[in-house]
Amino acid sequence: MLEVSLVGRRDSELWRRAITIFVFTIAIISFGVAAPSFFTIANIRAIELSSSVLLIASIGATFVILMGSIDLSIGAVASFCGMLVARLAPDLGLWSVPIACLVGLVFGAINGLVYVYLRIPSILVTLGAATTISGAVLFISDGRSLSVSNAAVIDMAQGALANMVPNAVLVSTVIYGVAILVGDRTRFGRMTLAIGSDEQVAALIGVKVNTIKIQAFALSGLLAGIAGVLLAARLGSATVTMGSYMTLDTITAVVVGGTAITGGFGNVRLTIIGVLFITILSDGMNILALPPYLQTIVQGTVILLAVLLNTNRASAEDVK
Amino acid sequence: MSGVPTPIYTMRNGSKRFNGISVVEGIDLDVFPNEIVGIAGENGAGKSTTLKMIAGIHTPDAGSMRLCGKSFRPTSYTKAVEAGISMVFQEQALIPSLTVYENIFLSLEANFANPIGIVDRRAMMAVSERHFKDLGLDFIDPCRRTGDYAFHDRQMIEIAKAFVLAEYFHIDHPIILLDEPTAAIGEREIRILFDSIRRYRRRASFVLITHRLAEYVELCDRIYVFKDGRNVGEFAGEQISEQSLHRVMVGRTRDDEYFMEKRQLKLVGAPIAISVKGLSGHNVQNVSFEVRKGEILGIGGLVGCGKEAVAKAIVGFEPFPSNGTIEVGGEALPLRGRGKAAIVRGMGFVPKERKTEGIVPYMSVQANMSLASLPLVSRLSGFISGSRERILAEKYINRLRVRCKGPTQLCQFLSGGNQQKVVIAKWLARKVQVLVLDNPTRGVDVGAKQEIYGVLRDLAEEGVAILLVTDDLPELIGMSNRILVMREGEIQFVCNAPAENKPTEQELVQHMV
Repeated sequence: MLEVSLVGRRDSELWRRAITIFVFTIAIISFGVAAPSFFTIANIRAIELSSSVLLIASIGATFVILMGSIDLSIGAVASFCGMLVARLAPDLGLWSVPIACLVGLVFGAINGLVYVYLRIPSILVTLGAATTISGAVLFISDGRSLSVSNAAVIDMAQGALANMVPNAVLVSTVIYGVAILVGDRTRFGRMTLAIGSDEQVAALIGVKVNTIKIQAFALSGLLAGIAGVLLAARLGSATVTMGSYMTLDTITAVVVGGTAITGGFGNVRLTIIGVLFITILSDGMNILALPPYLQTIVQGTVILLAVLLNTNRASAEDVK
Repeated sequence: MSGVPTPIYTMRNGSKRFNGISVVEGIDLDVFPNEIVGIAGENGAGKSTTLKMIAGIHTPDAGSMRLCGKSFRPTSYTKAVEAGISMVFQEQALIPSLTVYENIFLSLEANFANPIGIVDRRAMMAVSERHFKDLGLDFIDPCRRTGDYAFHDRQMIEIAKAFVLAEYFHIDHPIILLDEPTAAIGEREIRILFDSIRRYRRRASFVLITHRLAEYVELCDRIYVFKDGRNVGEFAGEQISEQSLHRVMVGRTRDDEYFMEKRQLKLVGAPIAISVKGLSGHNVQNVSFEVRKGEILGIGGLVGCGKEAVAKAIVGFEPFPSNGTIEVGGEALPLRGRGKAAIVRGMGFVPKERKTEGIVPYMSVQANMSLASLPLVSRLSGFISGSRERILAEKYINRLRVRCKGPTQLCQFLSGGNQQKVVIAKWLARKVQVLVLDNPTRGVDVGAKQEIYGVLRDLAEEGVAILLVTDDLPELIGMSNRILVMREGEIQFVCNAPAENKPTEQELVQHMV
């Protein structure tokens, strides 16, 4: 069975994908030519590491967006879980890691429950959650940065398998692989897409739509938590807003990966393109020493262009 | 009509290609004043494309059009409207949140504005009101929200809009294009619509496309028949009959074979598959009936008579009437979680809204087909097996003759009939014992329709109990072993419909209204 994808493939899609990858390659080569340090092991390692964190968070976002919902609390959850690990690591050591991740899951599940049972649009639920959780981060940290003072936790992100593959990359690769399987080959994956297309389709085949929705948000929270923990471990310290960039970057990554922001079309496989795109672009500009303000402007513009190139706007019935 | 009539509109050799594929070619078409012209043909015959060329939505690649003796080359729909051609769109073009008069004058407000730009709403209301009165639509209040009116009323508003705009652009005799105006309305509304069209023809010409041949016969003065993008026949007056149209359209004669009535089973003492007792609730009163294994029970009635609610109650599609009991295989369905319970007991539902309730357009054919039976195609690990899913899909693609490039093609790209077959396959994959269908052939072309009927006959022979809720009278009569007619939530009439003694449409209709 050599089918590339069983769900969500279009012929014209292949072309667009090819163009994206072509442009992408050109960009990488030009970064390499302009800045000799771009292709050094150290830099590639840096790209790998920051992609890993964003990829994990973006996978959760993909399932939520496929369903036609949105999760704006990913950044706050990541910050909270990163901070929690820094708080708990001195006392609990490695145990702080699963605890922090679990807290992410709980946050996500609460988002899902509120969204489903109080019938509040997910964009508002998670917007409120983001603010609340950001406050909670300040609460548990007293507004200060904390260093992660436990070697085992640090090693989890900074260590490397056989001195070759950083642990963080390993973790994200495994999660990515499982996510692809889940997306293509499980009921949950199929139903997120079906719900994004139209809830009635799923409801009429006896699926508990609410359960799937809560699961998707819980998953998004869990993965945001893992991303936050890895980020703190990688940096060796946690700051109160360290995860906040993820909220919008995950959405960008998902959309650049070709998933429709309205849901019902796309898959988790391609989200990695969006993630690499964002990371390589900002890394390349850093190496070229572009002024930071200019970087932001370029980033925004390039993201718009990427979306333009990578999404099928013709098929969208209504653009809202 | 005086003297030698000259056509108000002509198309000569109209042709249109999309992506290099010819959709219509060499179409000649005339519209005379006060005439109702039909364009008949199977799906994909080029009817809609032709209508859209007339309306300026598609520009012909070749050929010429003339309107009122002058060359007519509209570059957009707006230009066509200015020249006196309006279209009543299948998917309505009115904005529900605006009032009726705001919709009518949408984009023309500037003409009611005083020099400083303030729009004279009273004038707009007055003009709308006068037209509604002229057209016999007094019951429509121009100041109400358009969305408050039912679908068929909005359709009348669109037709009224065509007259208002014609007057506005100083057109004496507009041409109004109707694209499947009866696709989404019931028998009673269709009557009202047709009566109106007959009245308005004094002031306008109409060009009509519909899925129901009987409507062409009833309404049209002249009918063009299209097949594969070409003109293959023209009928006028006495020549028009369903048989003659059908013969030219599809190249085969229509007879009992269409519904495969000879395959209808004679059921004596077959076990009861499903029994509905005293079903009541919103719009439904005390409905009781039984469906036996191998039986096709048809429920007919006007839109809003409660027949859809009965189907919903059986499959647990909320909201549904909740009083009374529904037994499947002798056991009552629960009120809570009925949808799930119904499916577990072997029930399947082919819903009315194919695109939003039946299929997931951006999923492959195979993923859609396995959607309701994922455990059957999953491995022990719990993951879906691509190869098992493919085998399942290939089986049903062959069995139902689904025309697609393969199991991995997206459903999005399938025709309506083939999408519907995918929905049916989704349930067949679960080995259903009871299949409930709500207008299964709505918007499906004649050929695919017959194939769906064949599938239903197959299922009945295998002992599946089928409940067929439909607005399509020939289908109701042709397919059913037994027919229930509902009116205002109650069962009004029940009759047997054995293959050799089918009731007539008239017999049924008298119980509907």
